[in-house]
Amino acid sequence: MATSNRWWRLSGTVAALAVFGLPLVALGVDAIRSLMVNPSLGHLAIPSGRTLVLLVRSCALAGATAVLCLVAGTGASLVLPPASGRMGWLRMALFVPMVIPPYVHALAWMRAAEWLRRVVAVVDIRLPAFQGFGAALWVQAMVYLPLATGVALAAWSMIDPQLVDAALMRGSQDRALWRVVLPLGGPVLLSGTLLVFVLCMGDLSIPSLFSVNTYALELYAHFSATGRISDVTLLAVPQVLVCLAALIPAIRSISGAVSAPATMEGVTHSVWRPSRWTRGLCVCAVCLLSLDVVGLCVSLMSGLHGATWVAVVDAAPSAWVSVRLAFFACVLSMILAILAGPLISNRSRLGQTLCVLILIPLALPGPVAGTGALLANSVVHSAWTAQVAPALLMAFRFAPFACLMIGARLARADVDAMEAGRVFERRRGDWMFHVWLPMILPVLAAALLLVALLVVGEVGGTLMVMPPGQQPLSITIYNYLHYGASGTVSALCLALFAAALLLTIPGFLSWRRAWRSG
Amino acid sequence: MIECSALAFSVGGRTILSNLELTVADGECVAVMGRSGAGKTTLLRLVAGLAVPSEGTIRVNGEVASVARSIRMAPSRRDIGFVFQAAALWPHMTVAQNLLYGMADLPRGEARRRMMDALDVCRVAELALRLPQQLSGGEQRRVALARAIAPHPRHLLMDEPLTSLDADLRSELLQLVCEIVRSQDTALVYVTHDETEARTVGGRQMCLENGLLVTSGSA
Repeated sequence: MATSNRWWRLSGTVAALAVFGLPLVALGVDAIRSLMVNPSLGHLAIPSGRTLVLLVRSCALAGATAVLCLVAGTGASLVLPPASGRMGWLRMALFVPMVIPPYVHALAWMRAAEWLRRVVAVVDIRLPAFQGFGAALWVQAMVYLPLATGVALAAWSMIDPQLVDAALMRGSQDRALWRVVLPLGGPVLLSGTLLVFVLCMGDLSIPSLFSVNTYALELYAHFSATGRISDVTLLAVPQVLVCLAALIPAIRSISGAVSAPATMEGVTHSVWRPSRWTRGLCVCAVCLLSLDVVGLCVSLMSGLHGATWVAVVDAAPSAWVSVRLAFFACVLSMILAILAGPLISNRSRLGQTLCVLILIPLALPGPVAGTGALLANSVVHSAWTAQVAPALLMAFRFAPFACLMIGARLARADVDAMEAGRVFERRRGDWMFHVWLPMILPVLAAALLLVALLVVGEVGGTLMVMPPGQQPLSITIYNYLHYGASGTVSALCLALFAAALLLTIPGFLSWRRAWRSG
Repeated sequence: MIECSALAFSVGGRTILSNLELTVADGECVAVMGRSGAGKTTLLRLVAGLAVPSEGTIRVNGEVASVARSIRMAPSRRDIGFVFQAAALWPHMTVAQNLLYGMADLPRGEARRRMMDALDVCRVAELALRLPQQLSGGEQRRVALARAIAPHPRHLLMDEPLTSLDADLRSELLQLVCEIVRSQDTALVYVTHDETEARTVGGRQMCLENGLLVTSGSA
């Protein structure tokens, strides 16, 4: 195995320490130094009064979103047509919103709400403004519903169809659903819910656009007001702890689900189908999922009439920055995943330590991760230029997904097949290029796809690290959005959508081909 | 009674079963043999209602259960016990819960009594509170058998239930199956690729070849 190679172990550890460890150490050292100078700063790490209210509100918003996504995503996944069938395209179409950043969804729903207000005003009904907790909850649920549905589909694919068939022999469809299908898929469904919770906790774009003050927003506001990184680090401690508590149980099941071997056809291979009543409810969930796609398309297309095309053309350099950033982040993530993934798959002390190290960046809110990258950049300024820092920040934030997915894939790999590759190797590199790489390729493609999408839509950390004149499309749109949903924003969102699709389609196709070929 | 007439099953343009005729009377034992990929498991899944036939009709107890491209009677209404090739025990339920699942329509006391009887007969009564992953391969097979017989089904379908067990355990479990079938007067369709097993089960022996079922002997 790769992990028996000393060179591999050393380079994997060094790479992980450099990318994941350095910003964390820099943040920690800075916070400790500040605490030693002024011990009273310690109170920032203990939520009380206003910060406690903000933390509770953040947890409530993220928790409600996660539960809504769990229910609707599970329902929708039960009735979606199989990917290989004639209606397989419908399944793919419903996942398109996954490539769109949260604030673009927010724009679409703002526009839809405005349109609805105008329609009902004709019959003298005045709807309240689409603002506040409810609006933020609705939009966040729409944003993460495709992700929750995808996780639910992965959960079903991991269930041995014979277990479901066995349940059908002595029980109804509903009984099989409640007693066998849901409990067996439960761990992965729960993990998906926790992942949505963590992503919501870290997002500040939607709460800020709907005037909901959350903890992540407070961190950004605090940094903007004081400029003191150590304060933000200490202030972030409660949120990081909450997110870590949710992440640790979630990550393993999700990675396992994503890297499940192609032979596992799961529930779809069983004769089980939801009963008529359950199917009705599930179809409602699919309608909800479709509503977001239709809403996005109609809203963005209809908003184009007021577009200032000069602004759109002017945004071309921003789009180029986004694509370049995604490319470099993917390259870095790939290197890290290949080097550190095998170490994580190992249950050694080193593997477990690296796993914990990799989990922490996932729990960090965007602004804190950004400040960490800034600090790390200042520590080794000669090596990291201002151009490289954003790509390193993205790798710090999102490469953990790639490392964990590769780690999970290798942990589930057929050891005998791997060893056989070693035994029959006749030329140096045969094992690596003909056995090991092809085995991890589908998961690697999926991981890089995920990283690219997250990078293209990221705002919280990018705001901190992008050098002047190097504004990616996400920041351009985010800045425009604060002036309202204009035609220019719609046009930019469509451009971002097109860029995300361009990045997604080749990655998705290669993943699917590799996954199908086993 | 199970009656299959003009039964056919194809998938992806490949014919697995064609024009198959099979009748299993109440209390009768039928052993179905055939090479790997001959369609033995498919036949059992069709009878159980876990797969939809391409052509033909399946009747269970005189009622139409499946017709071409349609399942008319849900698997749970066919009064069939199924022992899968892998034990297929639900990993999140204890042994007792695995058995009780199929007897939800019975009064609780009666269900518990039948569960204990089935576990006793299969000699795994002491494992009732264990989870499947805490059992050995042989114990899992016994529990799978107990789960199938506990509700006293009129028909029992067994899909190579003793594969990958050692010879001693296999012969012991096979004897157990025969005793149970005789004592409960259950119709048995036993799928295997082992001729000795087929002979031990007794009754009619049939062979699946090129999608057709032919009689090869009787005990």
